[in-house]
Amino acid sequence: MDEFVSRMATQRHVLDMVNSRLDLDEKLFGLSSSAIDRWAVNNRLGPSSSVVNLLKNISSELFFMATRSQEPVSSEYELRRDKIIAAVAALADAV
Amino acid sequence: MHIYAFGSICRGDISVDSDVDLLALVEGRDSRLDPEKFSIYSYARMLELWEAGNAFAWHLSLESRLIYAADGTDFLRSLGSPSRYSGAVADCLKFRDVFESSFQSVQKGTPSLVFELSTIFLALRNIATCYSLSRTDSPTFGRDSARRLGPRSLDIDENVYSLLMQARLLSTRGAGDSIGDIDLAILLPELKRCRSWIEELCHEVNLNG
Repeated sequence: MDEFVSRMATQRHVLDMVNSRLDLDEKLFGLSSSAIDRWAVNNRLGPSSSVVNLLKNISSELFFMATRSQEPVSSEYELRRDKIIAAVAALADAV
Repeated sequence: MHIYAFGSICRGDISVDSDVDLLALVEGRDSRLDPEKFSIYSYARMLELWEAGNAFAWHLSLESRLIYAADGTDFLRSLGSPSRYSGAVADCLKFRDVFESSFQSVQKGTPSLVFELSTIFLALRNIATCYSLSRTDSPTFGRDSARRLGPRSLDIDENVYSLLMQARLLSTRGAGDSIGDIDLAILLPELKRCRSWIEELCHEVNLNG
């Protein structure tokens, strides 16, 4: 699958999981750092929230992948993809 | 390292919710650069995009300004024009599929409606840009590119178009007013018009290679 399309699918999976399982005042609109910050503030989730931290981790890995996808495939790239899979699994357990 | 501004600020297309698009060209990795603030490319990769006639290379070629150069040179200008853009068919079909995935999600009652509307806006904008690069003499790269194609412009309800833009801002920057209840009876017919528009553009691009 195209890397861009793959990242979109991952975002959709994560957002649907959070938005369908958590009954909060405002939905999570995206996985950019600022979208997560907005969601956390508007739902009164503090910086120690494990869900917020897991989302930030996934966000960071996705942005890293977006940048690194401009580079030739490397072993680190594969490692990061595995990290995203692990981070999404951890989030699934947390929500 | 080279740093360029590109996009709306270089067009003078400024509004209160405009951001500044920044490109960083680097050798290897530079941990000082936040990938949420910069599009980060190696020189080698940028050269590949230039030689492939990639749409982003054309965007940079036509709408970028040098901000900083460690060696005092303007790297992108030194490359001249990118090769002819030949990826229109593949690019348009990719973003047609991106649109379709989000459209299907909306129809099924997604719990992440803002994200899907944001993605639809992205697909419309990018298809318009790819079409304009391939089929017109005046490529358009802005967020409003779908409405800057002359007779081929996207014609949908103004409120729905504004809603899509609002969703894009919420999803990417977490900025703007939250979106309240959306009447799918109004939204879905407009999205079907978007879908028809995409099919027409993809068909034209496909016919002309």
